[in-house]
Amino acid sequence: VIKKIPLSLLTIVMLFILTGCFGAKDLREVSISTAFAIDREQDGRYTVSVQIIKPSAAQASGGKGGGGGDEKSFLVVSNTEDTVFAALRGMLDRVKDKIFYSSAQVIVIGEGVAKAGVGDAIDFLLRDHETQYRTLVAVAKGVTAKEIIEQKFELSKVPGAYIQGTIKNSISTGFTQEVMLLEVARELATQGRDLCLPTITKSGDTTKTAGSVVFLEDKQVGLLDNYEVRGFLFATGEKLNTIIEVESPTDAKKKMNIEIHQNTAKKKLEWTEEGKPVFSIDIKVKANISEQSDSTDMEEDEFIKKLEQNCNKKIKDDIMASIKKCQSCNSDIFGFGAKVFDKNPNYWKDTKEKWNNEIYPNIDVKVDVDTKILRTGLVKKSLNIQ
Amino acid sequence: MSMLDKFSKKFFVKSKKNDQEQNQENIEEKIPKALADVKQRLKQEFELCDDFSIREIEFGKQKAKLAIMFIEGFTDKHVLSQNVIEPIIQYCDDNKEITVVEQLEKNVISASDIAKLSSLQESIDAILDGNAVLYIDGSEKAFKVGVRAPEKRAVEQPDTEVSIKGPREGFTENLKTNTILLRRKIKNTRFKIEEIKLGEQTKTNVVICYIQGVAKDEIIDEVRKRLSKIKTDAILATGYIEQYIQDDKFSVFPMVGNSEKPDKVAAKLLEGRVAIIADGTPTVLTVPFLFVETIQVPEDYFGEYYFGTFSRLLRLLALFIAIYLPAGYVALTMFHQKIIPFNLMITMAAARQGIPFSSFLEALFMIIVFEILREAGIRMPRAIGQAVSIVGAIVLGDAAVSAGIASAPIVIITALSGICSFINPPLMKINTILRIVYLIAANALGILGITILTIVVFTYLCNKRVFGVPYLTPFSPLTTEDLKDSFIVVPIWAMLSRPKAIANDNNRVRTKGKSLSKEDEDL
Repeated sequence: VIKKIPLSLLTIVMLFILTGCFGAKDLREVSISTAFAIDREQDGRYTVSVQIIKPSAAQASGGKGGGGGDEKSFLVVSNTEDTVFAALRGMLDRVKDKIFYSSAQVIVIGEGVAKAGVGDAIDFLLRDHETQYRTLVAVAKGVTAKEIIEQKFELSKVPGAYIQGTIKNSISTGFTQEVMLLEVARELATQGRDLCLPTITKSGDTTKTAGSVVFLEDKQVGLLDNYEVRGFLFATGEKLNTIIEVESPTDAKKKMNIEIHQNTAKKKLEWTEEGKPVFSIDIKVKANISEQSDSTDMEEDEFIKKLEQNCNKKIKDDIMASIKKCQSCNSDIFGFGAKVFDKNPNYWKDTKEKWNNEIYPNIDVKVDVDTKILRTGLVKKSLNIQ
Repeated sequence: MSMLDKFSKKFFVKSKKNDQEQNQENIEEKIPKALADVKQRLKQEFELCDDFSIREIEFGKQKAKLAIMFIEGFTDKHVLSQNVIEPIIQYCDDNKEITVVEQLEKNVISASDIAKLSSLQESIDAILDGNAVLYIDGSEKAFKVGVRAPEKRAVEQPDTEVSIKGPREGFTENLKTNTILLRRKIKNTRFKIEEIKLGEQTKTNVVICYIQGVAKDEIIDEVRKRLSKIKTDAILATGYIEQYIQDDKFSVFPMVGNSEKPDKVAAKLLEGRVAIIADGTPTVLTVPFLFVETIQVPEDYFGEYYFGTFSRLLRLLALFIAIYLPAGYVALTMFHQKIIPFNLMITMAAARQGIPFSSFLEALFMIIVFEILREAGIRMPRAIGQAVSIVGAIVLGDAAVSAGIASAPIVIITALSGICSFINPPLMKINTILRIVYLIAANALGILGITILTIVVFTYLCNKRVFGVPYLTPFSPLTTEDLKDSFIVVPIWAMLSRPKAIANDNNRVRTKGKSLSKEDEDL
């Protein structure tokens, strides 16, 4: 046994020294990607574009380079192949270092892909161990996905992170929503709930996130405008910090802005005598007045009460519009089906085949909104300009 | 371990039989009756020792011949002449009823420290220890008179352990001064100081200090046993003793406490520990030494308990940073880029661009540079030390970064982990080694490697015992009661008992709690 000890010691030492590079990949030997774009060609092949940044140029402070402000900080490489992974691998004939997927901040899906079905396109992204499930996903509208990630921004040298930031701002606008890759996979795999992805367009020198795409299974079936998305978000109880424009109780022509402080939604399922499901959504909103363009004294209870009613109506209208739109294109993004599945699995089993096409478009949804105005801001009354 | 034992036997062979036999003979040799024989014998022993001197005098009316032998400079000349030689020469009473020896002892010599010797070797040892020895013609007895000259160095604040609040005194090289410093703090007859001599050539005085009834008897016995087993020719510092009495021959973690501060040692004695002081070293050893003591500092107890707790946590964090930071950085940049936050990754990638070495080699290079600078800083004369720090900071740090040989983050990381390793002085040496070992593990297997090594290190630590006490007490085995003084510090009035793992079970009450009663507070 003693004789073997030097040998085993040597083995251990060699294990440490010789396997030093197994699986290792130094940070200086990777191409850092910040955004993916997946487009579909006419012939059904995928064009995958990857935005690769140059770290030294992209560093926020500018670093030692000094005045190299105009230096291009990123490069978009694209490649067209039958599958996404093949396209990504094919890029390596033009990119020196292996592309590092984990750092991608956003995945932009072309409209063509959305219409043909996103399932195949994101399969690789879900399967690969290097991609991050927290990456945000958006659908390009009007332009190709590649054009979106080629956009250069004045304010940031990392376009992927910039686009991600604008999507995250949706919490304040309520006009689109934030969906992670993981959530895409979850929605696609959930019975009775469909996928809804934010859309992204080009607007002058920048990109713009507004509205959403609704899916049936993994195919695009319709579009929601800004207010319909807001209604959808209210109906699902997504945390919002948006503002709502309502008519002033005293003068219908004047507008007031209400800022949402807190909002919750409760979905209830009831059954009619014929055994049809009926939904009711209870929404509770706490809000502050943030802008007023007439000069009524807001301390009056009646004024506030009326304002609350106007607000209720506005939110309810948004929600109803959103439900109508979705019902018309058979996409159950609200998860009514999932609720039925939860409460009455037997009923769901019988109807799941025809849920989207026959039952869902015709169900009744009652919406009840209860707004409470908490504060009126720092001034009670608008300035009386003289 | 068997292989290590073999290894140690092979390389550290000792042949001590002859020495021991010789020693035995010397101790048995009596002091010759005739003074001439004594002189001849000692002159033979001290041949070519020019600092050895003999003063011959006569005593009383009988003209008894006496000889005082001592080592020049080692003894205090004034004390010797005033308290020993002068009374002998001036003595003229002649009491024939008692012997010369008794007269000398009882009526003449006015020095306070005096002892009768009968063995020649003992008397030689006494001379070598700075005493004057008085030989009497016609008697087999000799007197040892303690007239050792006081040490030059004063009691001052030790450089190694600086305190801001609390006592500033430190131990010196003089054993007697050191025991007095302790005795002054613990005025109790149960505070025992046992003296022994170690080292066949150096014959160093070593004392074992403990408080009877507070320290466990088993531990005291074990210390005595281990010290008596030391067979060596020289004990030049307590560091020698430390290596002999350690539980583990090849220990890499500190298993014996070192301190230069009397207040710290006194506190440890009061917890039931045993201290070992050797003549000639200002560093005092305390056993058993537990891992938790590496983060304990006297000031934790003198000041605000909440800040003590904060400092303890800070020290633990520093310990962690010192060992894991470079390894963690290498693991992240080489294997797990995925878990680095995006913005940080861009910064790191930007810094890494164009660096010709992998981050492992870079880190290893910078750590070695840091250690070289540290070593140079200690060994260099103070005046040149300044130059080293300038060269280190500017040339090696800044220039390496701007030349693109090392990246800026690695300089920060090496410097930070290096500084952190200074926070726990007892662990500084092992920290340095572990940092490099962890780095290699991180390079080989990433976080997996770090994890495996962590398991190995913790298993090793959990397995250790010092003088029968598990090394990681109170964490493992968990002693809830002793946690009051671990990573937290409770106020001093709340430290109700001495450590369970160390102190004698019969005497564990330290305080009765806060003395202010409710009524007092109301007033």
